[in-house]
Amino acid sequence: MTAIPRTGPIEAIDRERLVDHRDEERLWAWVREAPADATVPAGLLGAADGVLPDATPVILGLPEAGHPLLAEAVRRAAAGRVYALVGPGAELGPLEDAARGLILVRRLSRRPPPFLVSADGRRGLVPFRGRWLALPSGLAGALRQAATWLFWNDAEAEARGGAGRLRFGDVPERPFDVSRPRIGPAILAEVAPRLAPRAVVAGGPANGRTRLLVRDPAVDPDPETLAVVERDGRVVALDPVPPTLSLDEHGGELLLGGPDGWWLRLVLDAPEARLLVDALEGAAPVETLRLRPRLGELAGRVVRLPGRSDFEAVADSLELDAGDARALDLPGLPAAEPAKWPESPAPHLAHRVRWRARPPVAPAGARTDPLVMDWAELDATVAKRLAEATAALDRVEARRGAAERFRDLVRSWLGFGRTLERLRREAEELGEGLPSALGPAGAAGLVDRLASLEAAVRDLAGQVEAAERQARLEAARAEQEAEHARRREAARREAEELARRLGEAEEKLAEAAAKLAELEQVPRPDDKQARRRRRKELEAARRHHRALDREHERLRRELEAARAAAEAPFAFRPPAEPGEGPGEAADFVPSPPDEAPRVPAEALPAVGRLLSARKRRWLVIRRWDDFEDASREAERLGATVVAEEAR
Amino acid sequence: MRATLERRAATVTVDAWARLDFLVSRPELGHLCRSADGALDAEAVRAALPGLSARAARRVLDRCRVLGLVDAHGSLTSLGREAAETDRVPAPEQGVYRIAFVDEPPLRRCILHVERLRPDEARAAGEGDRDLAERFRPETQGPFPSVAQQGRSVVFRDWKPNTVHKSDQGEVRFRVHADFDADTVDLQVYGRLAMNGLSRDCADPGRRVELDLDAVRRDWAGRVLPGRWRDGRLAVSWAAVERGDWGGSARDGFTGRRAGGQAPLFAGMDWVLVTVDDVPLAPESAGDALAWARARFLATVAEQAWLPWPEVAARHAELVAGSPLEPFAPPPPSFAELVDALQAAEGGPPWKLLAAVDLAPRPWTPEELAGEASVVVAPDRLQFRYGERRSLRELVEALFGPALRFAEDGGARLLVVDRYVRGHDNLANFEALLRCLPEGARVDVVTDPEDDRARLEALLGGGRWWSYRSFFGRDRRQQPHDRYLVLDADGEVVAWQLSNPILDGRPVAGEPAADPDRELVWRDLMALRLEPEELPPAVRRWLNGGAR
Repeated sequence: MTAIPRTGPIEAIDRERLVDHRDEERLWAWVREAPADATVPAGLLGAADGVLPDATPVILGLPEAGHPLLAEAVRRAAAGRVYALVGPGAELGPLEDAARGLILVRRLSRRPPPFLVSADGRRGLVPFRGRWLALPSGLAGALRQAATWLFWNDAEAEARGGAGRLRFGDVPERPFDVSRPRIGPAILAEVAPRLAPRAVVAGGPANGRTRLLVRDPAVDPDPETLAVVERDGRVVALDPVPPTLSLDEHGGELLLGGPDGWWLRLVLDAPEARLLVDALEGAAPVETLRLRPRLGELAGRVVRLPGRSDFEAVADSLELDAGDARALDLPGLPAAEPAKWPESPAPHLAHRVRWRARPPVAPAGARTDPLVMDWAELDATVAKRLAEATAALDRVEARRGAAERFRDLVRSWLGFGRTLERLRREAEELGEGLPSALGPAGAAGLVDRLASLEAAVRDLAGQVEAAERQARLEAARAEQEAEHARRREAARREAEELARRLGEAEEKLAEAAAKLAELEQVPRPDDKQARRRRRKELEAARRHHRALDREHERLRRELEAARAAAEAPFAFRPPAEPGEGPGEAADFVPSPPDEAPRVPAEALPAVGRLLSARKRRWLVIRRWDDFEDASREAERLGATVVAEEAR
Repeated sequence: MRATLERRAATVTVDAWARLDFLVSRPELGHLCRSADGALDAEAVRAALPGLSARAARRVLDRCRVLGLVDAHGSLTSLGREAAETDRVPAPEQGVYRIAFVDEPPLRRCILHVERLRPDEARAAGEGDRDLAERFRPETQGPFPSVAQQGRSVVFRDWKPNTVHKSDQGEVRFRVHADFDADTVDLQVYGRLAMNGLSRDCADPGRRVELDLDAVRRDWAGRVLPGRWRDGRLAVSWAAVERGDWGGSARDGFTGRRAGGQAPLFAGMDWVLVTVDDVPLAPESAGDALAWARARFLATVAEQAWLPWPEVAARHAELVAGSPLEPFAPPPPSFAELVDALQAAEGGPPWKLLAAVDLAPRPWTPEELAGEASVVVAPDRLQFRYGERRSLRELVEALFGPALRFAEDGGARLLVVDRYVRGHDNLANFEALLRCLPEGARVDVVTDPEDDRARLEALLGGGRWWSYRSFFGRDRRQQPHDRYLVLDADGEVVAWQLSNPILDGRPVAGEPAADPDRELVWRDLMALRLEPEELPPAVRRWLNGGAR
């Protein structure tokens, strides 16, 4: 095992391994003997039919876009007429090369079976498991009838070549009826017909040996098949499940097409069946079954092996990428391997697999541990309260200016100033270290000292407040007394003036009273004019007397008021407290906190980041240098040491 | 054939003293002429005009004689008959008149218009060339309708021509409408007539003139009408027709139209040929006939969605039969020839023909595609070319002979699937078909009889019929295109698919009749023998004893 590094960043490690399979043995293998011929042969099997000239019009069934018949359709469209039948959803793109040629494409309601038949019905070809089977003329004629029925009765769209791009359009109504083959040598069906199973598929036992056994290479061979191979040696692949070929020397049936498409069932009579048997036996088998082959023997072949669904070429060597292998712990990183080795894309003789060993990391859902959060909260709380205490000291400091207004305060501030300086120094000391850095014990002490500081600040602020209040009252009393004396002197001077004016008024009032009495004593004259004159004089005298009387009364009351004011005693009215107004002094004295902050019981890790999820803890580090410290801290905290997730 | 020609007419005016009558409206005399019944006498006058005395009636009769309404014997004259129709009778007067003639030798005495001259104008007319004036004396008395003043007609009694004036003012033209088939020629004057300083529009209703149109037709061949007459048709080249020299309807209608150029008429006068229509045309040679037939065929099938091979010969034969092409008997095109022609005409592969031939129900032999095969009567196939003559009984024998012969009485049933078992002719053939079958045979029909339902049911007797919708379903794609005849003779099934109806034959002559032994002319017929399993599902159900 490779030792872990002592220093440097913690990173993934690229690794590889070479594996050789040449001597490994498999239970069986379907081996493709010859590559499948994708083109239509120029001559037909059963050579008596001769070749199919290019100019002969043909009808093609193209069940899918990539069918080998497609190339034949494109090739022939340039020389002869081609009627191509395609399935629903078929694209015209693959046929576009034939668009300028003589091709007429019809899209059917379902996929057609694959076939090629001449328009005169004399020659027909059907692909069968990699071969092209030439049909006897009777079957070709039946196939033509099936093809023409599909063309005229089942088409949903039509594209005509010879004039630009192929494009599907409407299908004109058919000009005549074509009978659908339902029995006879060719049968067209929507569902797969059942083929009667034949006891001996082809050949049959000859001299105690099976000449030919036909099996489906898509199906794993059963024990009986393996036993036949063990004994007689030869099995060729032909017959898929459900069977599409039922054949013996007396006759047979061949199914073309597939699920979702049209099924074409070709019924072979005895000569046709024999022709097909001979063709199958005489031709090189497309696929054969081998027992217990070593992979080294299959080099360069196309095979289907147990557990694989398709035929694949056996590659000499492969480069496989196993992806990432995550180590369970950091010490295990150099030895980490993938939990699952990659699937091989194809059979091969050897392969080199590469993977990347990645260090363990905290799970994606891991979050910062609550311990870290608690310490962070304590740090914040202490910092906040310390800031508040300092601010309170600043506000006390700001009160120093009041001493200049109140003489009594100057002396008090000699003591306040010393206390203030002392508290400032203590606050600065407390702010020098975070609680989280001090650990649980140190943090608790710091919290206690902070509480003491806060109390001292409150006390100082209260003393300053009280001193200020007393100085303010004394100043107000002195001011009120001076004002009172000034008012008494003014009232005295006013009383003297009023007394003089009252004497003058009394004299005028007496004169008016005498004059009125004198007029009232005069007898009532007889003359009317005289009486009117006397009455006017009397009324005037009376009005004058009343006016003088009111003036005399007013002066008398004013004189009494002035005399009372001049003799009034002094009464002190305390001024309003500054705190009673809005925004005054309310924040001057800090209020004590509700409760003391909680100090975590555990200290933070010395290195790394502490994460947790679902009651598990991880200590994340970046460098191997921290690994030893982290291991100790992780043990203390009950955590696992992991690496930082690579970005 | 009809031709329209035009020519400018030189006009001449003659000043003449004349006694003449202008026709004026006299309703009472018109009433008298209408009640005359061919002749007038005093009694008839009194009967027509009650309250007249015998003497007054005689005066009226004398007046009618003076006016020329009746002759000396009281019979109505042409003027009297015209008065009976129009209430217009002559009003005699005399004086000096200015009379307009045309100055064209064949039409010299055609009077166009008459106007009175004022006395000063009459004096100013003075003496003139009397000999020249004599040339314009009208041969008949009239009445001559004025072409320049609608409603004015004049009857000349006597005149003395005085002065002839020739004038280039105005523009008077002749128009001739010649109908060569009806052998009529109508002459009309139109344009503007300048006279007495006035210009008047001519409004001539026209008049019929005599002309030997056969001579004109012969004269025109090769000059006016390029070609030569043969059997009443102008033999022309296909190239000229194809060029459009003979108008748009020449190819299919075999009638031509030309316009413009000069044409001789009326003893060699040159006329402008406005149009000559409906010139009966025919091909000049066998080559022309072949090209003509090909062109007609291509045009006929241009709009067809499909062109099945039997239809080619049939359509070609239909186009040729009874047409001017028939004497040349142009053969129908071979497959290869038709492919080339359609490709050239349509600018792309003629899929309508190619697919219909390549993907026919049965492959065609090279001989058939070369047009060499004719009538085929085989156990699995029957083919008639267009014009084949066979009786219906022969046809039924060819289709069902052995099976029908061995069917026991009442043991045969026949299904006819044909959309057109209707109409008088088809039903007559259907009745003949029933008579070809053995006694007791049951016939069922799938058709759309429309208005002939009652007659069809009467003919079927014990059989029944279904509509296409009820038998094959509403989906038209499930309904067959072709026709089917299916015979079930005591379990032996003989089924045929026919390209054309079995009721399609028509009698060689005479009306259709329900006679199975009568020879019929067939258009074309292709019948293919089918196995019962190849029949449409609904027909198979009928065979199995059921139907929708």
